[in-house]
Amino acid sequence: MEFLRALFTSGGFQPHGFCYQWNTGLVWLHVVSDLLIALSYFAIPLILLRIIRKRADLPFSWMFALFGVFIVACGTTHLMEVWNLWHAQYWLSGAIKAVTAAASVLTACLLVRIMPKALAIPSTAQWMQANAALQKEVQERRTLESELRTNEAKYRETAELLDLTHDAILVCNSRNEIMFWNKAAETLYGWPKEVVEGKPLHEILKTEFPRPLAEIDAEVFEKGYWEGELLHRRRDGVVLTISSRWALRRDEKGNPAAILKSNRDVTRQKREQEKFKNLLEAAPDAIVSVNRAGEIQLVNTQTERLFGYAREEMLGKPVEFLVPPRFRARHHMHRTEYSGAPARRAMGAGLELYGLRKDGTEFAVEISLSPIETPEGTITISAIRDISDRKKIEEDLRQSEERARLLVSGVEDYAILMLNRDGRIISWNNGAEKIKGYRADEILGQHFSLFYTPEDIQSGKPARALQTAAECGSFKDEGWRVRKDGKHFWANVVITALHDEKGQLRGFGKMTRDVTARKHAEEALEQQRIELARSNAEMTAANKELEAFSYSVSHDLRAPLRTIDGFSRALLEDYFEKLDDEGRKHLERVRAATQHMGNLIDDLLNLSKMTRAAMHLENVNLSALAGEVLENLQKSQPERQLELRIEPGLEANADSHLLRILLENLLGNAWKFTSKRATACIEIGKTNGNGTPAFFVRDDGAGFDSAYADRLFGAFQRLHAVSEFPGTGIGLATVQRIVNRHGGRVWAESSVGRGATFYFTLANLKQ
Amino acid sequence: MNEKIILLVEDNPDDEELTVRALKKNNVLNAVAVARDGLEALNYLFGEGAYAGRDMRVVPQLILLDLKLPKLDGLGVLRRLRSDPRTKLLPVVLLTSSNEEKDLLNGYGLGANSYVRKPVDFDQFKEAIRQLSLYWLVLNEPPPARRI
Repeated sequence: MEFLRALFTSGGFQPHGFCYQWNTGLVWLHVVSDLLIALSYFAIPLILLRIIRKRADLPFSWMFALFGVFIVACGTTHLMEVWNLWHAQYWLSGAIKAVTAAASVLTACLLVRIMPKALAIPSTAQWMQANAALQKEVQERRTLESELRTNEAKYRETAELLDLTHDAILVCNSRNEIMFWNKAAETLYGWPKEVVEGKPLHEILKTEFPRPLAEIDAEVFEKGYWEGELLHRRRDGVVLTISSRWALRRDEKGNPAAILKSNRDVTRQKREQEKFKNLLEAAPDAIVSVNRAGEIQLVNTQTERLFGYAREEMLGKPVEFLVPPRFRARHHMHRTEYSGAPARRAMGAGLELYGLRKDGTEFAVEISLSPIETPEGTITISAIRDISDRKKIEEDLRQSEERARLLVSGVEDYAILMLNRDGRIISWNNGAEKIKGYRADEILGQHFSLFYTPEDIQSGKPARALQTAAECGSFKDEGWRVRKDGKHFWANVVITALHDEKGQLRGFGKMTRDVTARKHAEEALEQQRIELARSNAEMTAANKELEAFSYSVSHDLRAPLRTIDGFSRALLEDYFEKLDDEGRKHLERVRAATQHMGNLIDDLLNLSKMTRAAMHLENVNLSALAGEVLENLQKSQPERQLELRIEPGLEANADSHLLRILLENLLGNAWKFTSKRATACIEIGKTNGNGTPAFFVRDDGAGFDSAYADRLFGAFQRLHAVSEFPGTGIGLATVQRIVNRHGGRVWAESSVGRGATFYFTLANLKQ
Repeated sequence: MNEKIILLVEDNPDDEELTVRALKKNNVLNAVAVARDGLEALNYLFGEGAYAGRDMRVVPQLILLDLKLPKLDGLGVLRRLRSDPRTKLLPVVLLTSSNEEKDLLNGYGLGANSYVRKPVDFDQFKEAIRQLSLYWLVLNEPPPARRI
């Protein structure tokens, strides 16, 4: 305590100012200097402290603290110097000086200790030099750094860009191990970068190459580049078609260092392409795509088939190569025009287009064009269709229509016209003009009821006709119609409903024929028919009368004959004695005449029977029939020597009964008129003389004078005396009657003594 | 009365006489009844009219029937005979000038037993009568007699 009191008391000493004798200048010199020193000494540690704070890296920082304490202590001694000028507390200032001394000593000692170290710290010059070197180095380093930074930025940017690209970018080393794998690769293949880096690429992706990898590698190493399509398998197993481009990077020595591969998934395009190709092939038309230069880019199988060229022969050729030479210049021109303003359209509207085959033949085509924009420019797709068949059909149709039109318009005997659905006339031919009297220009557009009579129009006949035609398909009618000049004609009319393909009624075709002449003929015929019926009735009546007459003849004319003959006989028997020879001879002559008349009557009746008997036509074996007849004749006179010639196989469609009578008469005649010859020949056959096939009966008998040939066939006409050859002269009349009833003809050729030939035909004579 | 008589139906007296003569010449001695028209023939056969009360036991063995007859013709007579049970079975020979097919068909159709055409030649006629009577009166066994 005592010490402390002593410390802050003056202890009896004089303030220091006394030493300066309170010389104001001197005092103030001390005061100001000491204060400035103190201030400076107090400021320095603050700066040092700040330096230490800021520069934690400075060596010997604790030395600065020590310097700080030492300087603050020095500063405080100077403050005490000022205080001691007026206050003589010298103990206090001594104590402070002691503290300062301790700090100074300590600092000096420590300095000595760290001096070698401090000396190791380069000198300022060295520092300067080092600094300059450092500066330079820093500068260099800074440049490098900035370059590096730029490079790094660039690299990062590139990497980022590579990540940004949609193509999968991967880099492999020469052993095909993955060194780089961008985001797109991750996305595409589903493998994260971390997993695949360093792994063999083709094992990861199970690559399938278009050709052996060794070959591809060889190509890359040689050319530094390869491009092609591969199959890669995604992590989930899906197989992708990849369009891959490889670029080789060599190191400084030129050895292959890495391959950068840019892969693009073209699976969809491939599929689309496939689809497109299929579409192209499935198209029924030949499809040819042509680029702007007119070169063929693509063809389908149909094109090969149609033009006869193989695909390779067409690709790259100018399309004019498929066009016949005479059209080529024009085609080229049109094509240039088209590429100026491409649009989907049919080619050469209104023009005949032709294609040229490999074998030089031409064929009609129809082409439709469609432009397609592609990265390679506008491509024109042409669909080419062979229309030669259609053309031919069209041509045939056209010709047929033309013919039909000419036919219709040229027809004179028929009025052929067309009506619309309302019955107005829309076409008119020559025949219509001729029959109805109107010219086309005055009738077209008029209603067809114009041709009907007022009564028919009144009764609604024209409308009914159209209605019936529309409902039933056609309407037929005959009736009076009116010409332009008002005259009537009898028309045969057919109205036919005309429908389009959908079955819609389009109108009517009307065909009218002027059948007035036929009408008159029919009327005349009807008149004839009536007359014929009348005459038929008369004939029937006459026939009846004839029948009655025949009956009467057979009964009433024969009865008296019988009486005459019978009583003549009675006379001869009963009065034989009373009659002399002369009388008996007369009676015999009466009887002979009576019997002859009886025969005549019988013949006449037979002849009339020939006319009246019903006919039954059948197939008759004429040869057999003639054989039977001749056999009967031979039996009646077995002693006669005759040569009989019957042509075998003679047939006729005839009434067998009548035909037998005919043969009995002809052969009977031949038999009779050859009776005077020792030997004779009778022949029956068929001849084709005069172009008319006819049967004939020939004999070598008496014959006759052909001058009388026309009388031969009359009833009771005879060319020989009964005494010479018996007969009534009814046989050939009967023959003629029978031939007539068969619709045939009979005639004879002969001369006296040379025999006779009788020809006859029957309408149904078989050849 | 068991005499085999012949009924001759004939309107022509000449024919009647010639027929009878032909029968005689052939020694056919049977009695011949003559009817001169169709009606008389029926009256005779059925005992009617002028023949009412006739001995009906006398039944003709043979009827020679002409076709062309006054009043009722031969076919009419035949039709009546064949439709009556009393005369249905009587032998009827049509003896006529006609050789019309129609007459032949009708005659047979109505049940005539024979059809003979009278020839103009009397010798032939006589021969025909001879054969007829021989056949129908001698050879042929008549149907059992019936009372008419």
